[in-house]
Amino acid sequence: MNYKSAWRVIVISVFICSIIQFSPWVLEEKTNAPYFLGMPFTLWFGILISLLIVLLTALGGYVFSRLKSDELKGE
Amino acid sequence: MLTYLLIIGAVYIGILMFFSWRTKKQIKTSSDFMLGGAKIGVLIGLLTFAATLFSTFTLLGMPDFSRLNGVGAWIFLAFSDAIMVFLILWFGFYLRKRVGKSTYQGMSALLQKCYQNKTAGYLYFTAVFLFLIPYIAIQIRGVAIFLVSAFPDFFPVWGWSIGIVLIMLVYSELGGLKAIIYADALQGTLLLIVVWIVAFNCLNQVGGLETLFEKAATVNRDLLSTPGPKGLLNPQFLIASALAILMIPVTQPQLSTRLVIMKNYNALKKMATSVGFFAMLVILPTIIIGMYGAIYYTDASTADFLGGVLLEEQHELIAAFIIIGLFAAAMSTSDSQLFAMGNEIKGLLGLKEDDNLRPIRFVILLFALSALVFSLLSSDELVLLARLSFSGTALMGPMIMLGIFSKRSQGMAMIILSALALFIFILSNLGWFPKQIFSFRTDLFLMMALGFAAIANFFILKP
Repeated sequence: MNYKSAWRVIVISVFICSIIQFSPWVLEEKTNAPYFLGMPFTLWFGILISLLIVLLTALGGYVFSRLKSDELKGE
Repeated sequence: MLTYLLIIGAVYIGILMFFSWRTKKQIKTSSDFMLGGAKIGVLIGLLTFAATLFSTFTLLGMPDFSRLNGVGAWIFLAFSDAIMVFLILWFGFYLRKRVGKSTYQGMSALLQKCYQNKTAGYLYFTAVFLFLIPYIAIQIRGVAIFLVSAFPDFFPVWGWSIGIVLIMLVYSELGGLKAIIYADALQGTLLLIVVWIVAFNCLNQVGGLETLFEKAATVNRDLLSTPGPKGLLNPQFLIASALAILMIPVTQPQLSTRLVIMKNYNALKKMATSVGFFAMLVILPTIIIGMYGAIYYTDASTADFLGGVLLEEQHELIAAFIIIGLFAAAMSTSDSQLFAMGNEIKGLLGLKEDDNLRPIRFVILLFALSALVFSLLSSDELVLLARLSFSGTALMGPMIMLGIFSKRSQGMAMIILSALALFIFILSNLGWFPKQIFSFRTDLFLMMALGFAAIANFFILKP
C-alpha cells in the first residue's frame, strides 16, 4: 500500500470512529452495561475510541509527512 | 493555607518574572515579540498548546459539568479533542504551507490575502472579537469566584477580577509571546499534577473507581449514560459540540498561531499526538471529580461543590497549589487570547516588521478591559459559555479552510454566507431567532450548511 492509500484509509477510519461514537448504538439512552474496569459503557467505550483516534493521529502524522515529503524538504 | 499560598504564589510569580526577563533580552523585532522567534519544539509546543486549550473551564467547569450531566461529558470534550488533534495534522500542514516563509501576521491578514478581499479579514476579526471576549471573561470570572469562596473576607469578585487582569497585562507586556509560552508550559504541568491529586483523593475517599460508579448509580442511574440527568447530552448537542471544538485550532487565533510557530512539521505532528494524550489525561480526572461531586454534593451549588472538593477536603498545601494552578490556567489562556488578538490587529492594520508596537499594546489593553467588564456581567455557567464561544468562532471555520486549501481566490460567496450565519447565530442566542431550523439545532444547522457551501464553492470555482 502506498502512502496516499494509507492516508486515505486512516482518514476513513477516523470518520468511521466518529460515526460509531455518535451512532444510536453507542448513544443509546440510559444504557450503562456492559461495565469494564468498573466504568459504565458510555465512558469506557468513549475512552477506547478516543484512544484509537489519537493512535490514528500518530500513525497519520507519520504517513502524511511521508506523503508530503517533497514539500517538507524546505523546512 | 494563607502562608502556603503566599510562598507558592511568590515562587510562581518569581518564575514568571524570570521567564519574562530572559525572553525580553532576546526580543529584537516586533516579530520576536509577537511570534516568539517561531521555533517551538515538541515539548514546549505540547505544553503551550495544552495550557491554552485547557483553561479554567476545564479545571472548574468540567467537574461541575460532569456532576450535573454525567459521564457523557467525556464525549463532549475528550472525544471532540481527539478528532481535533487529527485535524491539526492536515490543517497545520496547509496553514504552514500557505504562510510559507513570510512572517505570520494573523488569520485576518492571511484571509485577506487568500480571498484578495479585505472583508474576509474584517469578518473573521469581528467573529473572534465577539466570541473570544466572553471566553476571556469566563477565565477571569471563574477564578475570581473561586478566590472569593477561598477568602471570603478579602476582596469582592470585582477586586479579584481587576487583580487578575492587571497581572495578565503586565506579563504579556513584558516578555511577548515567548514569555507567555514558557508560562503556559509551567501551567500545563501544574494543571496535570493538581487535577490528578484531587482525583486520587476523591477515589480514596469513595473507595476506588468501581465503587465511585456504583455509588453514583444509586444517586441517579442517568449519570452513567447519555443524555444524562438533564437530557442535555443528546446526539445533536454532542455532534454540534464536536464540530465546534474540531474548529478551535482553525478559528481561534491563539491556537492557529501556535501551529505556525512550531519549528517544523515533524514537531507539529508529534505535538498533535501528544496533545491528544494530554487531553485524555486531563479530562479523565475531571470526570472522576464530577462523579464524586454527584455523590457527595448532589444538591450543592457550583461554588459550594468546587469550594468543598477543591479546597476544604484537600490538605492546605494542595489547596494552595490548586488556587495557584487555577490562577495560572486562567492567566495563560487569557494572555494567549489577548496576545493573539493583538497580532490580528497588527495584521489588519498592516503594520510592518519593526513598526512601533504601541497600537498593538493599546488594543491588548482595550481587549483586557472589555473582558474585565464582561466578566463582571457574565453568568457562572462556565462550560456552556465556553461552548457558545467555540460555536461562534467555529462558524468561520469553513471560510478559513476554503481560503487556505485553495490556490486562488474563491470569490465573495463564502464571505457573505459566513456573515449571514454569524448574524443568525447571534440573533438565535439573543432569543430573536428560533433555536431550531428544520428540527436541527441552529448552531448545528449553520455549521453543516456552511460546510456544504464551502465544498460546493471549492468544486464550482476549482482551486
